[in-house]
Amino acid sequence: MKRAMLIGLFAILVATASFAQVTDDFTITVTVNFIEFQLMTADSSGAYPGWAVGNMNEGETVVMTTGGGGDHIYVKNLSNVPLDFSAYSNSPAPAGCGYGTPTAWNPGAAAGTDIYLLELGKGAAGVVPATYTIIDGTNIVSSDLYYTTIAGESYHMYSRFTTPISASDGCPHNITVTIVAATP
Amino acid sequence: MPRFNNLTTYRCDFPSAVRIVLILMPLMLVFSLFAQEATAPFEIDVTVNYIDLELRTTGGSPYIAWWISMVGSGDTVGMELGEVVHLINRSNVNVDLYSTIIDSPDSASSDTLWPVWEVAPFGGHDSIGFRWASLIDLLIPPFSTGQTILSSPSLVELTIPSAENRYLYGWFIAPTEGEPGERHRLLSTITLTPAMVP
Repeated sequence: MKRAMLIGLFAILVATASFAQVTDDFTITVTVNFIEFQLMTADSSGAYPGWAVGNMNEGETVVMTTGGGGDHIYVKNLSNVPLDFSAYSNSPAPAGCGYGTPTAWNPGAAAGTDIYLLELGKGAAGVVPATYTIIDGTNIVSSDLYYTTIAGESYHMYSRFTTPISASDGCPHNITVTIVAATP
Repeated sequence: MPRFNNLTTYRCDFPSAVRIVLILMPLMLVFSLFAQEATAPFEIDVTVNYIDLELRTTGGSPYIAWWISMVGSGDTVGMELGEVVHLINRSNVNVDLYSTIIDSPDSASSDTLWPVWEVAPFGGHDSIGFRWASLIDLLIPPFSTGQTILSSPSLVELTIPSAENRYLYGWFIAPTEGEPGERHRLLSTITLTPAMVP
C-alpha cells in the first residue's frame, strides 16, 4: 500500500513537472477604421431636418443658403481615417394629388422630363462651393465623389438642385439623398 | 514524425511574401465582409409648379373654335352663352391668365387672299379688336369688363387660385372696312403662368 502511494505521488510529480511552463507575451496594437459622420444643421446645433425647397418652376435651380441660419449641411466627421464622400439619390412616384399623373423622378446629368439634376459640393460656412459634382442614382463612389477628407475633417456641404424641365405631375416629391463615406 | 517534419519543411519553402498572403487572406476576407463605409440620408422636399389647363365648351366637350359669321364692318360681336370657353384649371399654384390674338391665315384655304388683320384695342382699317372677360360664373358680362387682348401677351386676370376654373367670354370687334366674303382665321392663345403675387 505504501509502495503504491509512493508510486502515485511520483507519477503526480512527473506529471506536474511535464506541465511546468515559461510564459511570455506580446501586444497587438490595432486601431479599427472608425467611420462615423452626422448630417447637421448649418450651425451644427442639431440633426439636419431635410431641405424643404417648396414650390419651384420647371427647370429652376436652387442652391442651399450660406451662413449659420442657412439651409446647407454641416457634415460632422467623427472618423479616424481619410474618407471619400459621395452620394446617390432617388425619388419614387408620389401619391396622387389631382395634378397630373404621379411619376417617379430620376437623377440625371441634366434636367429633363421627370429628370432632376442634383449636385453636391464642399463649401464653407459663408461660401457656396466653387465646383459641384453631379450625383446619380447609383452607389458607386467613383462616379459621384464630391469630396475627400482628411481624418476627422468636418465640412460644410451644399446641394444645387434643378427641377425637371417638364414634370408629369404637380405633386409633392420627396427626394432621398444618401451620403456615403468610404475609405479610399 | 517524419511526416510532420516534411510538412514543416514544405511550409517553410514558401517565399515570405506568399506566406504573409496566406496568413492575411483570412483576415482580408473578414474585413471585406464589413464594408468600410457609412451612410446617412437627407430629404429634399420639392413640388414643381404644375401649370395645366384645358379649354372646353360649356357642354364639356373640347373647345374647337368660335365661329363668327355675317359680321358687319365695325361691328362688335359677343359670344352666346353656349359659345363661352370653359377654362379647366389644373394648376397646383395660383396663376395669372394672359392671352394673345393674331390673324393666322390658313394656308390651305382662301384666308390668304385677304390682307392680314392687325390687332388693336379697337377695330380699324384692316385691324381688329378683341376682348376676353374672365368669369367665375357662366353669364354674359358687360363689355366694359373685358380686357383688351393684343398680339403680345395681354393680362386677363391676376392670381386665379389653384385649380379654380374660369369662363372666358369673348368679344370680337370687326375692322371698319372689309370685302364681301372676306374670311379670316384668328388664333387666340390662353396662357397660365405662376402668379406674380402668390
